[in-house]
Amino acid sequence: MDNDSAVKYLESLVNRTFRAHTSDGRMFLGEFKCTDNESNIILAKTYEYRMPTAKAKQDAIERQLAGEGSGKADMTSRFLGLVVVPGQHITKLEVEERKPWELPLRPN
Amino acid sequence: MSQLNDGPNPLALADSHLPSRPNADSRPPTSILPRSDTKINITSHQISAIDITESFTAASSALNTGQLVKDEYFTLFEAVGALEIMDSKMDSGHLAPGETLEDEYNVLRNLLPEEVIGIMDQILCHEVAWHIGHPLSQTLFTCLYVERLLWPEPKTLEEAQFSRDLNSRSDNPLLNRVLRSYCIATIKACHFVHCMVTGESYYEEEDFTSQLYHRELLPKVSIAEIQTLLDEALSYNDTASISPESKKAIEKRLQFRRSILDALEQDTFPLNAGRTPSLSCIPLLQDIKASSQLGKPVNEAFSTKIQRTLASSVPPRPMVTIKLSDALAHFETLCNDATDVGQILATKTSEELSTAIWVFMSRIPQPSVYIRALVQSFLLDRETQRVLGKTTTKQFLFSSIAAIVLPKSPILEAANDMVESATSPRFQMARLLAEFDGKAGQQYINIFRNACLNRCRTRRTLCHLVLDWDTLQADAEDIDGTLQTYTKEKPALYASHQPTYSYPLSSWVYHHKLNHLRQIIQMGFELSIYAPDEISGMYWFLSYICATHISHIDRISFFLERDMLAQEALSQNSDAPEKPDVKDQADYQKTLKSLFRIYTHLKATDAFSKALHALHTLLLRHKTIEVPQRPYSSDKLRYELRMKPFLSLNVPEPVTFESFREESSCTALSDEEVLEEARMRIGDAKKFWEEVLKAGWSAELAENPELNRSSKEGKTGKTEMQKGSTTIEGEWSEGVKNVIRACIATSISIVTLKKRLDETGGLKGMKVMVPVPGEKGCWHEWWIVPRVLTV
Repeated sequence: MDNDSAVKYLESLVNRTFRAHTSDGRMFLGEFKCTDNESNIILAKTYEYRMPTAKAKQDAIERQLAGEGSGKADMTSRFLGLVVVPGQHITKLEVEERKPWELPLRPN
Repeated sequence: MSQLNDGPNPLALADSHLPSRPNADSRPPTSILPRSDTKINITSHQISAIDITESFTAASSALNTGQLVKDEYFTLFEAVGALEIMDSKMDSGHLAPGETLEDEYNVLRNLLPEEVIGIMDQILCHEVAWHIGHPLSQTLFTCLYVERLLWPEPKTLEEAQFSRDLNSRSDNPLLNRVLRSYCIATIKACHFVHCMVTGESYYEEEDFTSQLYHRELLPKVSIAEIQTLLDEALSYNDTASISPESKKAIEKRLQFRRSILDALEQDTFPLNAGRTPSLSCIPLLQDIKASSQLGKPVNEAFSTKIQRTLASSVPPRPMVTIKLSDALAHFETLCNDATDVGQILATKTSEELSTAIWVFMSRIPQPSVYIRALVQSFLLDRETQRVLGKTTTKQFLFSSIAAIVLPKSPILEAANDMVESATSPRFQMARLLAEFDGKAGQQYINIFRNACLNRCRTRRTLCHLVLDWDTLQADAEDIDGTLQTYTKEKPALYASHQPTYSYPLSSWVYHHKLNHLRQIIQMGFELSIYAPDEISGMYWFLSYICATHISHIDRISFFLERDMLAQEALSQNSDAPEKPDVKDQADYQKTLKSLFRIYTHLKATDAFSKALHALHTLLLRHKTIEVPQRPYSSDKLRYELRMKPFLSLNVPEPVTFESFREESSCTALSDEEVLEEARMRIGDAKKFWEEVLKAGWSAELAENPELNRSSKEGKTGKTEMQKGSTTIEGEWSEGVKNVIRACIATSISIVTLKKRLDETGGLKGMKVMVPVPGEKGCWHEWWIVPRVLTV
């Protein structure tokens, strides 16, 4: 990819909502503000999401097996604000896209 | 964009839900457990996510080194504040390899009574550490018990449990009743403190850290509910089979929580007659101290790992630990101070109020931020907009004007407001006064509120306020000019051959402005703002301000006496339609007496600053006070810096650097003459300060000894029994006595210098020490007295 089209592509992503997954299993959800040639990204208004801990998962599974719960475990999240996610730690990057409204089919 | 659309959509429509954006009210999002440990795809009906890992990496690696793609409104300056993820120093959520997010500590385990006592005391220390300015994340919110109660956010008191799961709830009453009620009462106490402080003026991180990290401190839970919990805990404790010592220790701690909660709740109803509830806490604090040895701290119950779950953009920070004895001492001071606030409320005049607040806020250590907010909340109630719960700001302003410049004047008559005819002079006077109130009313209250800030801020804000008062003075002069046409005031000859008017409102403003100027200089000494070689010049400037103020007071007195004589003449003239009664004369006399008190105080300040100016000048001249090398600074530049608050004022006219240098260095005087000046002035100063002491802290009380006695008895002796608690009157006298002691210390230094000067003609072999505020040998923070020793 040449520099011009790379810039064009990246600029088209500015201010879109990103989900950056990091190597330690966390996910950061925030507005894409800035990047450089090492894929370091700056996200604004970021929330951190963390998968339930092993123990919480285990507890939930046990509860479900005992027929007491739905097998759901809380995914923890918190607000962080402005963050830099270093490119080397990013395992997966997603951009959110709002689907167009689908009108429910109207019976004739 | 084509790449985005062309790329394969990796999203399997899993059954999971997109975690909703959390906000303060929502519960944490949930996710369905994966069947295997592979990645989970998260999606929702309206929002989908497209994997751009590859295209993004490819695009960014095509950038040149140093090239950035960014939002045009996003600045690199902002970027500096971003938290770096995966950096353990910045990212509080980063886990070291093998580290777990959650603590191993089991909050549901059974506790020994000794452990409960230990945890209670640890919690108390954390609470105080927060009171004195540390963030909750490093103090109370490190407690796992507190964390369990507050997160997920409980909707009701019943929900605030160490375990929300009914099955795993412990049935240990020591945990569920005693510790839980203690924690809940502590949280609620913090809620009161938080509301009080954040409701008033304070400085984030200087005074207090208000951040709650998206947690709430049980704002909706009622005090009655918590008191019931504490009662239940107390009655369980009565019957529990634990050692009598532990039982008593727990009882005292629970009772303390009860009392402090009561006291804090009282503070939210301002002006409740008897302000004594805080006092009941003090003996309990002593009991807690006595039994603190019994407690067994449980350090595992406190962890900074909780910071990982708090909404915060700060890097991880260590836990703050303070000693229990310090924490208890803090609470004791808090309770004493809270009680003494009653003395501020009991003041009758604005002069008294001003003195009381100033004395109270000068306490060392300064009353805590909670107390300072409490005083502010009384000064001006947010809801009723009443001053000390009694008067409106307008009445408060007018009574102060009456007390200093207009004891008896048609201008201030309340009945003017009732006049509806626009042609009536009284209607016009009321209109002009309302205009003045609009400009000055809030400013006047701000003087008092400003004194409740931390000391550095008080001085700094005064520097800003003084500019506002300069503008206010100009406005007041205009209003005064218009008022003359309605009062038909006759001009008089004062200090010049030009007839002049009294200008009452602007006189009042100028008086306060000069007060501010004096306080700015004096607080500069208190806060050690001036370098040792600048002190001489600042004392010269202080005496200059005092002299200006003295002549202003003289001017006000002149016009007052004129009006008083006119009134008297009127009353002797039997034909006069309205006969002023004797009471009017008494009002004049009272105001003149107040002015005389101010005059004496200014004279005392003036004489002392002149003496210290002469003394410091002589020491500078003989290089016994060292002048540091300042390669990048000049005297002129530093003068401009020191005079910054004063240089832009209209009145008093700024002093130019040249005349300042000439006046303050006394070049025309010989050593002997300078010393003689110092000797004379310090003699005057001591005499004047003794007069100030004799006149007492309040004009009302000095006049009416009856009142004085009853106000002392009113405090029911109980206050005076408490160690560390003193009356404001006592502190005021002690302050003046300390100034007199500083005068004596100055005399001693002068005598020593004189002896040496007479003997040797120089100051060789003299050692000079200048104790600064806070050091031993500094009698009063506002008076920097050099100590001279012969080596």
